[in-house]
Amino acid sequence: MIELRGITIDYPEGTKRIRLLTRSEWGDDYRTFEYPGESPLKESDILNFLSLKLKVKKEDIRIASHVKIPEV
Amino acid sequence: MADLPDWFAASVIKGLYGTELKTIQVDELGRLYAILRALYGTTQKDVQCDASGNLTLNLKAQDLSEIINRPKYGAANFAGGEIVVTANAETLLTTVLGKGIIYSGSFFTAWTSSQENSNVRLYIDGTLISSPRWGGMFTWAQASIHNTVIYLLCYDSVNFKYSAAISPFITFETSVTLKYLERHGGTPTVNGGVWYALV
Repeated sequence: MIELRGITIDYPEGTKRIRLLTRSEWGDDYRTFEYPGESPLKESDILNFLSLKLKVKKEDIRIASHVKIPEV
Repeated sequence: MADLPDWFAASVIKGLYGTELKTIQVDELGRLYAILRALYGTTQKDVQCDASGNLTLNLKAQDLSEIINRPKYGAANFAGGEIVVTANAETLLTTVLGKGIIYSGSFFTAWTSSQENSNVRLYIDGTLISSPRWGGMFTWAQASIHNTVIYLLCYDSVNFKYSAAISPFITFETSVTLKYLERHGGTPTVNGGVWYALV
Protein backbone atom coordinates (compact mmCIF):
# COMPACT_ATOMS: atom_id res chain seq x y z
CA MET A 1 0.00 0.00 0.00
CA ILE A 2 1.26 3.46 -0.97
CA GLU A 3 0.00 6.57 0.81
CA LEU A 4 -0.18 10.11 -0.53
CA ARG A 5 1.20 12.13 2.37
CA GLY A 6 1.43 15.61 0.94
CA ILE A 7 0.88 18.00 -1.95
CA THR A 8 2.92 21.13 -2.62
CA ILE A 9 2.06 24.02 -4.91
CA ASP A 10 4.75 26.60 -5.61
CA TYR A 11 6.14 28.83 -8.35
CA PRO A 12 9.79 28.11 -9.12
CA GLU A 13 10.95 30.49 -11.87
CA GLY A 14 7.45 31.96 -11.79
CA THR A 15 5.82 28.82 -13.19
CA LYS A 16 3.24 26.90 -11.22
CA ARG A 17 4.41 23.49 -10.02
CA ILE A 18 2.44 20.78 -8.22
CA ARG A 19 4.20 17.93 -6.47
CA LEU A 20 2.83 14.81 -4.83
CA LEU A 21 4.68 13.24 -1.91
CA THR A 22 4.15 9.56 -1.16
CA ARG A 23 5.50 6.90 1.13
CA SER A 24 4.98 3.21 1.72
CA GLU A 25 2.65 1.75 4.32
CA TRP A 26 5.73 1.00 6.41
CA GLY A 27 6.46 4.70 6.71
CA ASP A 28 9.52 4.66 4.50
CA ASP A 29 10.40 5.05 0.82
CA TYR A 30 9.44 8.71 0.60
CA ARG A 31 9.02 9.74 -3.02
CA THR A 32 8.10 12.97 -4.78
CA PHE A 33 6.41 13.24 -8.18
CA GLU A 34 5.82 16.34 -10.22
CA TYR A 35 2.18 16.45 -11.23
CA PRO A 36 1.33 17.94 -14.63
CA GLY A 37 0.23 21.50 -13.99
CA GLU A 38 -2.43 21.36 -16.67
CA SER A 39 -4.11 18.28 -15.18
CA PRO A 40 -7.10 18.71 -12.86
CA LEU A 41 -6.23 18.19 -9.22
CA LYS A 42 -8.96 15.68 -8.43
CA GLU A 43 -8.70 12.58 -6.31
CA SER A 44 -9.42 10.22 -9.23
CA ASP A 45 -6.84 11.92 -11.47
CA ILE A 46 -4.25 11.89 -8.72
CA LEU A 47 -4.80 8.15 -8.17
CA ASN A 48 -4.53 7.49 -11.92
CA PHE A 49 -1.32 9.49 -12.11
CA LEU A 50 0.29 7.76 -9.13
CA SER A 51 -0.84 4.35 -10.33
CA LEU A 52 1.03 4.88 -13.60
CA LYS A 53 4.10 6.34 -11.94
CA LEU A 54 4.39 3.73 -9.22
CA LYS A 55 3.18 0.81 -11.37
CA VAL A 56 0.66 -0.30 -8.76
CA LYS A 57 -3.10 -0.64 -8.85
CA LYS A 58 -5.18 2.35 -7.85
CA GLU A 59 -6.67 0.21 -5.09
CA ASP A 60 -3.20 -0.03 -3.57
CA ILE A 61 -2.91 3.74 -3.19
CA ARG A 62 -4.67 5.71 -0.52
CA ILE A 63 -4.79 9.39 0.34
CA ALA A 64 -3.96 10.21 3.96
CA SER A 65 -7.02 11.58 5.73
CA HIS A 66 -5.25 14.84 6.65
CA VAL A 67 -4.41 15.64 3.02
CA LYS A 68 -7.15 17.93 1.79
CA ILE A 69 -7.02 18.25 -1.98
CA PRO A 70 -7.32 21.93 -2.87
CA GLU A 71 -9.72 23.26 -5.47
CA VAL A 72 -7.18 24.72 -7.89
CA MET B 1 -9.74 -45.49 29.76
CA ALA B 2 -12.00 -48.07 28.19
CA ASP B 3 -11.88 -46.33 24.78
CA LEU B 4 -8.11 -46.62 24.54
CA PRO B 5 -6.17 -49.69 23.34
CA ASP B 6 -5.06 -52.09 26.05
CA TRP B 7 -1.36 -51.31 25.41
CA PHE B 8 -2.03 -47.66 26.37
CA ALA B 9 -0.52 -46.61 29.69
CA ALA B 10 -1.18 -43.39 31.58
CA SER B 11 1.84 -41.49 32.89
CA VAL B 12 1.95 -39.01 35.70
CA ILE B 13 4.36 -36.09 35.63
CA LYS B 14 5.68 -34.98 38.97
CA GLY B 15 7.81 -32.06 40.01
CA LEU B 16 9.96 -31.43 43.03
CA TYR B 17 8.72 -28.92 45.58
CA GLY B 18 11.72 -28.75 47.86
CA THR B 19 12.31 -32.43 48.49
CA GLU B 20 8.68 -33.44 48.05
CA LEU B 21 7.31 -34.80 44.76
CA LYS B 22 4.11 -33.09 43.61
CA THR B 23 1.87 -34.24 40.74
CA ILE B 24 1.61 -31.74 37.87
CA GLN B 25 -2.05 -31.28 36.99
CA VAL B 26 -4.09 -30.09 34.03
CA ASP B 27 -7.58 -28.60 33.72
CA GLU B 28 -10.67 -30.34 32.37
CA LEU B 29 -9.50 -29.79 28.75
CA GLY B 30 -6.04 -31.14 29.43
CA ARG B 31 -4.40 -27.71 29.40
CA LEU B 32 -1.32 -27.21 31.49
CA TYR B 33 -1.20 -23.77 33.08
CA ALA B 34 1.86 -22.01 34.34
CA ILE B 35 1.80 -19.26 36.92
CA LEU B 36 4.38 -16.59 36.21
CA ARG B 37 6.38 -15.44 39.19
CA ALA B 38 9.04 -12.80 39.42
CA LEU B 39 11.64 -11.96 42.02
CA TYR B 40 11.16 -8.81 44.11
CA GLY B 41 14.53 -8.72 45.79
CA THR B 42 14.66 -12.25 47.10
CA THR B 43 10.89 -12.66 47.42
CA GLN B 44 8.80 -14.33 44.72
CA LYS B 45 5.73 -12.40 43.55
CA ASP B 46 2.97 -13.53 41.20
CA VAL B 47 2.85 -11.66 37.88
CA GLN B 48 -0.76 -10.63 37.48
CA CYS B 49 -3.05 -9.56 34.69
CA ASP B 50 -6.23 -7.52 34.35
CA ALA B 51 -9.76 -8.83 33.77
CA SER B 52 -9.04 -9.22 30.03
CA GLY B 53 -5.89 -11.21 30.64
CA ASN B 54 -3.56 -8.38 29.64
CA LEU B 55 -0.24 -8.16 31.40
CA THR B 56 0.53 -4.66 32.62
CA LEU B 57 3.99 -3.39 31.78
CA ASN B 58 5.49 -1.10 34.36
CA LEU B 59 8.23 0.96 32.73
CA LYS B 60 9.46 2.10 36.11
CA ALA B 61 10.70 -1.39 36.70
CA GLN B 62 13.01 -1.22 33.72
CA ASP B 63 16.63 -0.22 34.03
CA LEU B 64 16.27 2.56 31.43
CA SER B 65 18.06 5.78 32.17
CA GLU B 66 15.95 7.58 29.58
CA ILE B 67 13.32 6.86 26.97
CA ILE B 68 13.91 8.38 23.55
CA ASN B 69 10.74 9.18 21.63
CA ARG B 70 11.35 10.67 18.20
CA PRO B 71 8.67 11.48 15.64
CA LYS B 72 9.48 10.01 12.27
CA TYR B 73 9.75 12.73 9.65
CA GLY B 74 10.57 12.24 6.02
CA ALA B 75 13.49 13.90 4.34
CA ALA B 76 13.74 17.67 4.45
CA ASN B 77 12.21 19.25 1.41
CA PHE B 78 11.69 22.69 -0.10
CA ALA B 79 8.71 24.30 -1.76
CA GLY B 80 8.96 27.80 -3.07
CA GLY B 81 9.62 30.16 -5.88
CA GLU B 82 8.67 33.58 -7.09
CA ILE B 83 5.58 35.10 -8.62
CA VAL B 84 4.43 38.51 -9.75
CA VAL B 85 1.83 39.42 -7.16
CA THR B 86 -1.48 41.17 -7.76
CA ALA B 87 -1.69 44.84 -6.75
CA ASN B 88 -3.76 45.58 -3.65
CA ALA B 89 -4.59 41.90 -3.14
CA GLU B 90 -3.39 38.77 -1.42
CA THR B 91 -1.37 36.38 -3.63
CA LEU B 92 -0.49 32.76 -2.91
CA LEU B 93 3.27 32.18 -2.91
CA THR B 94 3.57 28.58 -1.77
CA THR B 95 1.47 25.93 -0.08
CA VAL B 96 2.29 22.54 1.39
CA LEU B 97 -0.56 20.17 2.19
CA GLY B 98 0.17 17.44 4.69
CA LYS B 99 1.29 16.94 8.29
CA GLY B 100 4.75 17.90 9.35
CA ILE B 101 7.21 20.49 10.57
CA ILE B 102 8.77 23.69 9.24
CA TYR B 103 12.55 23.93 9.45
CA SER B 104 12.73 27.43 8.01
CA GLY B 105 11.17 29.73 5.46
CA SER B 106 11.81 32.98 3.69
CA PHE B 107 10.19 35.90 1.89
CA PHE B 108 11.98 38.50 -0.19
CA THR B 109 11.19 41.10 -2.80
CA ALA B 110 12.55 44.19 -4.51
CA TRP B 111 10.45 46.85 -6.18
CA THR B 112 10.77 50.29 -7.74
CA SER B 113 9.04 52.03 -4.83
CA SER B 114 8.19 51.34 -1.23
CA GLN B 115 6.46 48.15 -0.11
CA GLU B 116 6.65 49.02 3.57
CA ASN B 117 2.93 48.55 4.25
CA SER B 118 2.61 45.23 2.43
CA ASN B 119 2.28 42.10 4.54
CA VAL B 120 4.02 38.75 4.43
CA ARG B 121 1.65 36.09 5.69
CA LEU B 122 1.92 32.62 7.15
CA TYR B 123 -1.12 30.37 7.41
CA ILE B 124 -0.97 27.15 9.43
CA ASP B 125 -3.80 24.67 8.85
CA GLY B 126 -5.77 27.43 7.15
CA THR B 127 -5.40 29.89 10.03
CA LEU B 128 -3.46 33.11 9.60
CA ILE B 129 -0.94 33.05 12.43
CA SER B 130 1.41 35.84 11.39
CA SER B 131 0.99 38.81 9.05
CA PRO B 132 3.62 41.46 9.69
CA ARG B 133 4.19 44.52 7.49
CA TRP B 134 7.74 45.14 6.30
CA GLY B 135 7.62 48.55 7.93
CA GLY B 136 6.11 47.20 11.14
CA MET B 137 8.88 44.66 11.58
CA PHE B 138 11.46 47.43 11.05
CA THR B 139 9.77 49.92 13.43
CA TRP B 140 9.47 47.34 16.20
CA ALA B 141 12.80 45.66 15.55
CA GLN B 142 11.21 42.28 15.03
CA ALA B 143 14.40 40.85 13.70
CA SER B 144 15.30 37.97 16.00
CA ILE B 145 14.69 34.32 15.32
CA HIS B 146 12.14 32.70 17.68
CA ASN B 147 10.97 36.05 19.10
CA THR B 148 8.38 36.37 16.36
CA VAL B 149 7.10 33.77 13.93
CA ILE B 150 8.24 35.89 10.97
CA TYR B 151 11.32 38.03 11.55
CA LEU B 152 13.01 40.69 9.45
CA LEU B 153 16.34 40.16 7.70
CA CYS B 154 16.58 43.14 5.36
CA TYR B 155 14.77 46.48 5.20
CA ASP B 156 16.23 48.81 2.59
CA SER B 157 13.99 51.89 2.21
CA VAL B 158 16.36 53.44 -0.36
CA ASN B 159 16.62 50.58 -2.85
CA PHE B 160 13.30 49.06 -1.74
CA LYS B 161 14.63 45.61 -0.94
CA TYR B 162 13.02 43.56 1.80
CA SER B 163 13.45 40.07 3.22
CA ALA B 164 12.23 38.07 6.19
CA ALA B 165 12.40 34.52 7.50
CA ILE B 166 10.20 32.08 9.38
CA SER B 167 11.25 30.77 12.77
CA PRO B 168 11.84 27.00 12.77
CA PHE B 169 9.99 24.07 14.34
CA ILE B 170 6.44 25.16 13.69
CA THR B 171 4.33 22.04 13.27
CA PHE B 172 1.27 21.73 11.08
CA GLU B 173 -1.49 19.15 10.82
CA THR B 174 -2.94 19.82 7.36
CA SER B 175 -1.20 22.70 5.61
CA VAL B 176 1.29 25.55 5.61
CA THR B 177 0.76 28.45 3.22
CA LEU B 178 2.80 31.56 2.43
CA LYS B 179 1.02 34.58 0.97
CA TYR B 180 1.78 38.21 0.21
CA LEU B 181 -0.69 41.04 0.70
CA GLU B 182 0.30 43.94 -1.56
CA ARG B 183 -0.88 47.37 -0.32
CA HIS B 184 0.84 49.95 -2.55
CA GLY B 185 -0.78 49.28 -5.92
CA GLY B 186 2.41 47.68 -7.23
CA THR B 187 3.13 44.35 -8.86
CA PRO B 188 6.50 43.27 -7.49
CA THR B 189 7.91 39.81 -7.94
CA VAL B 190 7.87 38.19 -4.51
CA ASN B 191 9.85 35.12 -3.56
CA GLY B 192 8.45 32.84 -0.85
CA GLY B 193 9.61 29.41 0.21
CA VAL B 194 9.56 26.96 3.06
CA TRP B 195 11.85 24.13 4.15
CA TYR B 196 9.79 21.40 5.73
CA ALA B 197 9.38 17.68 6.34
CA LEU B 198 6.22 15.59 6.35
CA VAL B 199 5.52 12.78 8.78
